[in-house]
Amino acid sequence: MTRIVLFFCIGLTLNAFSQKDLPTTDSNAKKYLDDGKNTDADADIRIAVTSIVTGFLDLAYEQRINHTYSVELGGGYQFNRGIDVFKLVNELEFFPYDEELTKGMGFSVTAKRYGGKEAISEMTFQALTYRNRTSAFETYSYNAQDIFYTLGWKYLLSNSISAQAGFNAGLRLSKYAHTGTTVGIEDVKKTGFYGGFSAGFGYYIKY
Amino acid sequence: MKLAKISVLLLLIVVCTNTSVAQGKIKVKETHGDLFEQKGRGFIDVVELPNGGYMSLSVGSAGGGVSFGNIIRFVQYKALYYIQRYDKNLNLVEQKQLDIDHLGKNLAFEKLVKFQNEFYVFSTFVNEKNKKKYLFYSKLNVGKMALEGSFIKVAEVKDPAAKTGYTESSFDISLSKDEKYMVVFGKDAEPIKKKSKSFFGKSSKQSKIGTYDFKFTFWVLDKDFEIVNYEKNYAVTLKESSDKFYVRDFAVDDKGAIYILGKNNVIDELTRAEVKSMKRATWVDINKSAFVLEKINSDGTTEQYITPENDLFVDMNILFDKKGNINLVGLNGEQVYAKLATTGVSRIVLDNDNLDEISNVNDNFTEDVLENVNDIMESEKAIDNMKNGNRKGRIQKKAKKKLAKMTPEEKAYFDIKKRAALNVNSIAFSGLDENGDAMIVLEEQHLEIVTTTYTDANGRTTTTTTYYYHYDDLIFTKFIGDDVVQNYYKKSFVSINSPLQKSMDVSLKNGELTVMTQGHIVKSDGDLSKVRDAELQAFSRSEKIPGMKRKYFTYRKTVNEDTILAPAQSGKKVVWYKVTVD
Repeated sequence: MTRIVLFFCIGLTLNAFSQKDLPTTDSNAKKYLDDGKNTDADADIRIAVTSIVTGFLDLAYEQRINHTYSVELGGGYQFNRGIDVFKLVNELEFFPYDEELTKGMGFSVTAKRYGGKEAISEMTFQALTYRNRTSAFETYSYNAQDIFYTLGWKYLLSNSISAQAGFNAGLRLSKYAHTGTTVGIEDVKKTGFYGGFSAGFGYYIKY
Repeated sequence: MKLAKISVLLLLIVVCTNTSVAQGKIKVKETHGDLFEQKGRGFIDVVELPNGGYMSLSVGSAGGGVSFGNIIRFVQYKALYYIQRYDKNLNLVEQKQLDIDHLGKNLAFEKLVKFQNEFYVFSTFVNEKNKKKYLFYSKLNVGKMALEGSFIKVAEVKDPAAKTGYTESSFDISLSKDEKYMVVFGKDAEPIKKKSKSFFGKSSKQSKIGTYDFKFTFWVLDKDFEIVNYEKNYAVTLKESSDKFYVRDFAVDDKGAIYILGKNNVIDELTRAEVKSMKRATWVDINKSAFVLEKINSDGTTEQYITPENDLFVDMNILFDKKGNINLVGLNGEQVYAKLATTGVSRIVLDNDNLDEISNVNDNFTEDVLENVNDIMESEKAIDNMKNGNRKGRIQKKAKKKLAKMTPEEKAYFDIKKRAALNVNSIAFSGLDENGDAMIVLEEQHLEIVTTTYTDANGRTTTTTTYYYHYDDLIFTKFIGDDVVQNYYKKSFVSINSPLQKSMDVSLKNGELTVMTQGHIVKSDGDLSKVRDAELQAFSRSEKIPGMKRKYFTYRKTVNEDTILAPAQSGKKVVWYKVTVD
């Protein structure tokens, strides 16, 4: 008799909740976290919009090292003289502003540190950059070596399109060299402040 | 997001003033751990660990921003969570970042839950592609101070994150007393209805009264995290209701039945003619302020209880007694123009099976309590005397002048002051003691906004707005059978420009209430005949901590019936205080 009562009680417990299709908890979190956004990118290929203003077409490749650090390599080709911002504030009498640009190249190396373990997707970052640019004119060449610090912001605009903006400040070592046939013109070396704003758009890559 | 706001608030300057008056003194023991530098800014939880010691969670942020006017802004912030472990003396053992990100996605911390003697972290993620917000849980390994195992999805609600004009989607989690069941309530983000306006900018008719369905989704989980009950878009149907239902409390009982308690307000919006003819200063009339309790049994059947129609309720909580009966403890109100003033307390006991009313006890605040908490001044007593025919004395002459200057609305507030605790709008604490007697603690709170304009010697004008957050007197009430006993504790505390995360913490043991306020421990006798206090040395400026210039308390928690923990903070420097009441 006791057994019958016990079985009856168990039956009641099992039927206490309504009999209907119930959802289950799911350990496959990826299914729910996949929003199509490349927020865990390994690399970023980026074009610097602000460099176009100065006549350079700069492309950069940024590689994530871990969730905090990344390194960036950049290369630039100067397609025209652009707007020489420095001319506006630092006009040099001997510099041949009327000469045609014959060739312009540049490269850069950057180390970046992101906050909140968010490298390299959406977060503020601090960066240290070495950049070397040379512009050749008909009779002169101009070389600028910049070492600067950047405080910047990274955004994910759409699924894989990134945007970057930053404020730069640092040191510029520049050299004006005569490459023409006139003899007796010495090179001019200058050291000064370098600062500015940079922005660009990129594409996130997930390997 | 809420947590990020809290951390930002903590950065603001907090200036406080504090006074109090009690009816006797008690003894408390105060100890503190060693000073340490906290990672993060604000504490969001502290718990007692089963093997002794304590664990806390704090929140901070990474990132930063600059803005040039309102047009150009570069801003990136991310909430970061930290976990700290302490020994039994509250000395820091270890602290580290608690990483709740998963698969490169930022999850938001929702709640730390102790369930079946294990700790679980609940987190959410808004998936813009699916237009849903998901709730996950992960087990917290206290020893390693890290999440372990998978992120397990429990629940989901609709959330069109990218769209504006929607209410915020949300989850709420509650456990049954015996920790056999957990209930998750989910609320979809809903479009915000635009208020239709008449030609003159006011609604010409009263708010639409009718039958409305208020929908939410719930998941009931058992101790193995198996979903044992679920209803998508469950509708609480309310008749003769307005189109708004404010959820105040929810619970799951030991049988897995769930309860949802909400406020059903019906407010008439008066027409211009009605305002004119009734000489009203406000455009609204509170017709109904009822509370509705909906019980959803584990077999899917439902019961509904609505508080008596003619009673206006300001606030209400659900409590379960030892028999499993439901105790609805609430605040009774009376309308004064557009405001509902709290005039007393009530306790409605309902049968758990059918929600039949077993008892309904209510009582107004006593004259003694009101006189003290409302700070009725001599001049106001004089006005009252004069109204009652006593016109003698100099003070009465002043009173006559003051009365003559009062607007009808000011007169109404003056009159209600003798019947209502004006600055009490919610229940600060409610609980049942070992005998099943219900206790309610109320705190007077109000915000004072002062705008000051300065003109300097050069004629430049600067306007500043200061926010004074007042946390004033306490009212204690206890239902002993059909009797209601009351007492009060006079205090005054002002926090400037930053509200407190928590103004007080309450524990209930042997029928006695212990309240930790800003600077005092307040304890009531079992029958509320006396309310005594002890000044906390921890809050005193004379109690110096080496290495800490000033101490700010913005968080505290009752970790058990006798112990309250509170961190003293100064910038990133922290000392945890343990207050034990004898």
